[in-house]
Amino acid sequence: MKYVVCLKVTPKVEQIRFDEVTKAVAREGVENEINDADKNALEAALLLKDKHGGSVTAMTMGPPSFDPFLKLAVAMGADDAILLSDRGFAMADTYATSRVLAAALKKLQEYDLVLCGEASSDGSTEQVPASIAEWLGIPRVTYAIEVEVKDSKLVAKRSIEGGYEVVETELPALVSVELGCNAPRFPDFRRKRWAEKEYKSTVWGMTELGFSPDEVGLKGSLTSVEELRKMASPARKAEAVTGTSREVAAKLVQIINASRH
Amino acid sequence: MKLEPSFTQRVESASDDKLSLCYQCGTCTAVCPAGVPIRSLIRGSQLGVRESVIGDHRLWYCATCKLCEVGCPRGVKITDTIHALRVAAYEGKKVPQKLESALWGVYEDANPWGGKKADRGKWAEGLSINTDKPAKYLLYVGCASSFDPRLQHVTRSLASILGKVGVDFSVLGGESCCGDVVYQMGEEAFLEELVQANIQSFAKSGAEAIIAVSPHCFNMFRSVYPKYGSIPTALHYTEFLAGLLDKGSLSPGRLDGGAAVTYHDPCYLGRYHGVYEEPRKLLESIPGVELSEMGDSKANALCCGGGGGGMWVDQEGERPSMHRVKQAADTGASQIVTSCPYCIQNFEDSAKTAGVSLGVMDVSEVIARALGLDAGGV
Amino acid sequence: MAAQAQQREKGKDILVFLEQTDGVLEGVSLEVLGKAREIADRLGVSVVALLLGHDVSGIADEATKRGADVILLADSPLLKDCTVEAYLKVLLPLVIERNPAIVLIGGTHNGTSLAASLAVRLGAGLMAHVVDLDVDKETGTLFGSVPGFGGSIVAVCKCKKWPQMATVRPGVFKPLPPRDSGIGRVEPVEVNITEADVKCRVLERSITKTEDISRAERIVIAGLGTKGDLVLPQKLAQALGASLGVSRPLADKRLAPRERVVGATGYGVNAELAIVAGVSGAAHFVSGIRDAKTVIAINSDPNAQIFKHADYCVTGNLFEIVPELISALQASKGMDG
Repeated sequence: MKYVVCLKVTPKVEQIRFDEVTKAVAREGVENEINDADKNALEAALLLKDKHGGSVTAMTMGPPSFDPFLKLAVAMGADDAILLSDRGFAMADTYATSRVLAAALKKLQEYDLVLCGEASSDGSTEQVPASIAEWLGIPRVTYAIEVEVKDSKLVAKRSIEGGYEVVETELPALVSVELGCNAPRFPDFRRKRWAEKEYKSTVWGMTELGFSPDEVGLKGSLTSVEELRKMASPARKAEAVTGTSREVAAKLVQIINASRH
Repeated sequence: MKLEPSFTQRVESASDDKLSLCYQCGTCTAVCPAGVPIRSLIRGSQLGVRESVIGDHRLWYCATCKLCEVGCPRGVKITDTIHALRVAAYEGKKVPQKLESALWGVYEDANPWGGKKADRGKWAEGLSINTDKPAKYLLYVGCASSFDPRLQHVTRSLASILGKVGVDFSVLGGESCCGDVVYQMGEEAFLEELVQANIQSFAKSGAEAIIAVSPHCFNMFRSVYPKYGSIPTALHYTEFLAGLLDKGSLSPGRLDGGAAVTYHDPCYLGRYHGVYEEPRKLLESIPGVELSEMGDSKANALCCGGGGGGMWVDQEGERPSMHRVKQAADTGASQIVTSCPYCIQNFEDSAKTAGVSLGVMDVSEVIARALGLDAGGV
Repeated sequence: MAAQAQQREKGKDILVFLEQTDGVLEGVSLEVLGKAREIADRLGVSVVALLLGHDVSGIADEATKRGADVILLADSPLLKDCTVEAYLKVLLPLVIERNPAIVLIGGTHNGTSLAASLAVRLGAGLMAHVVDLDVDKETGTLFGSVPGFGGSIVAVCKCKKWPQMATVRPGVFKPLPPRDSGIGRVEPVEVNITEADVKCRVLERSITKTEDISRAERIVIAGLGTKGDLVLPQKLAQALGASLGVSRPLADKRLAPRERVVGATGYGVNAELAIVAGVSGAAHFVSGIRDAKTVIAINSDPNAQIFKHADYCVTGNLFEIVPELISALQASKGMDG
């Protein structure tokens, strides 16, 4: 069984600052991490490998500076790592991103299950997993909380509004997993040191994937950002309510009654 | 059941070759406040039944308090043995999940509490703390004391005291976890990198000595770090302040309203490093403070349950700190005073749950009050 | 195989996908329909709704009163479950044939997966869970406000191709009240799929009736400060006749279902009264209470961010204050009763 995990390296959300003057997002000095939901996807793949055997390949689209995160995935247990790196891939929206990831999967030729996190912590569109499946023409199961493989079929419990579904489909297929659906194992740091010294990630760019510049990155995107705005917050009174717990409770009851129309 | 002599061998050497001394008297198990089946774990280790030993989830109940060692008639290094078992358990992937997620926090955000790296220095807001110029002393705050609002008050109190006395100290701008929870879990590969990185930070700070707020960080610096490299002298802050007291640099005034207090010896300060007198000296130097002793004090102090990864593991039954706060209230004291962040967190929780009327304070908070310093907050 | 992005001619109407589960229409679908009606009226075009399912003509009738000019109804046992591959097979030719200017889909789990897949097949741009929609009357360009970076920042986006697509965050727009006049008509369409086209088989489905917090008039929202203990907030909610919401971390820890999450990745609430207990007030949460009229915040940390976004601020221990508040509310009810 060959599992391929598509992961995204994302900036730490709490470190991002919005510059009100330039109306741009300031990324200098912001640290990166593997998108949390993608860690769950990787763990799901590793659990399947523990149970059924096979291999796990970690894949990401980004600049060479993202390679250490692939090494981290290897340290967690991935057998191989692929970096999709090209200047032309930059500033891609979900259409262009999913296109590149799908092309890489197609280049691998053989894979049984593609795993992704449900969404990234920065873009949070939740669109890439289903898009990849569509480019590849394989079935998809999104928002999975439990993933199992039985008799060459994917069986997954997925969450839907108000409850869950148990769904089955033939492999090859794609599954996206919910954030927090499992506990990602801590990397083996001895393996990490080995990976950093000895293991070389496969690197594919535009040429290897057979793309022309207008198909990928900013040029290949079908949505564009007109402007960034800080979410308007209504003016709040921010009035302190003080006293003992009992006194505060009494004051709050008055406020609550007054709020009723 | 498979017998693995190599397992016996490695636990034996980790316990300073004292493992074989255990003759199964069971005193350890009887006094253990956390319900760890110490006798059977040691017996299992002697026999080499590795899978059974590392598979026992009660291995993780151990708060590493060392009360067992006090009673052991043969001087078995029980805590070292437990540590060796945890290293083996980590290798065997038998660690409780909650602890493993704490590791991710230490790796990605330099703390096991879910706090964000960028927020670590926020405790110092409003105080002008030196974080970039070399200074004689390095005040090592630690994770809990940086992020927990209750404990931030302790840190601020201590920083204010040092400021008032005119101590030349700095705090690391990018302070990172001391690695105690990593060590307690039995993880060794990441620990090595973390320790080495900290050793470099300490060297860069130019400090002659490190003053630790938490006895757990203090223990890491005193006992574990020297195995990886040399670092400046490590002190717990009560040792440092007691030194100032001796020199006459610290003169607390009268504590307003006085206070009947009882002092609780943190395991990692008392049993681990014999620091019993210094905190008492500090409290007794404050006019208005009446210090009483609990029945089980000093080397016999009851653990709060927080060490050894205890803050992340759900033990069966009552938390040890519940019993301790009742003991404290029984002395007639209105405050239980201690000098460890985990003890404070556990006592605050337990005093509420037990419905006991008992205030919880840190030694530094008492001194700060006696010096008329308002550290803000609580 | 996915189609390459074609230069499609500029479209005209607004297409809305109506999602139903087990014969129940998703609330967001009506919200999107209402907004589509508003945009369509401004542009002078029609609203065409697409409804797929089995034995769902009743829903189709309902939708005719809610802003659609036409409901294209694809009814088949093979469409009983919303599975992307089967639904896409039916939707794609319908969309291509209608050549809309805009396609709007409610941002549910299924809706989002369907929209993303449809966008790839059409070679169309797709704006994700927009919290606002605006249209330029002259050019017909649709502008969507896409929240990002934890919800504190909004990117105003547009699409480069036709149709312009967007998924819509639930709870943002209001559905039209049912009309008596201006009612649309239902147009059944032929369903040309076979069992082989249904790639995902739903083996089991379980829906528990959870209330829709985005429409609650009063809400109590519990955060990490409750240490995962929802009993107290639940009691307060009961005393207030309010719904119970949670901040994201509690759902991530599996202590509460996603349906109760308030914030950027959950629901926005427009309650008359929101009591927020033990929530620190990070940006992604705050975006969820933006539209609440009166916000009362309780937090033990005097410097908690939430206090900047509340009308009434209580610094204190929620485990002491909330029980007192519950008693006081019960007492005041007793006095009124």
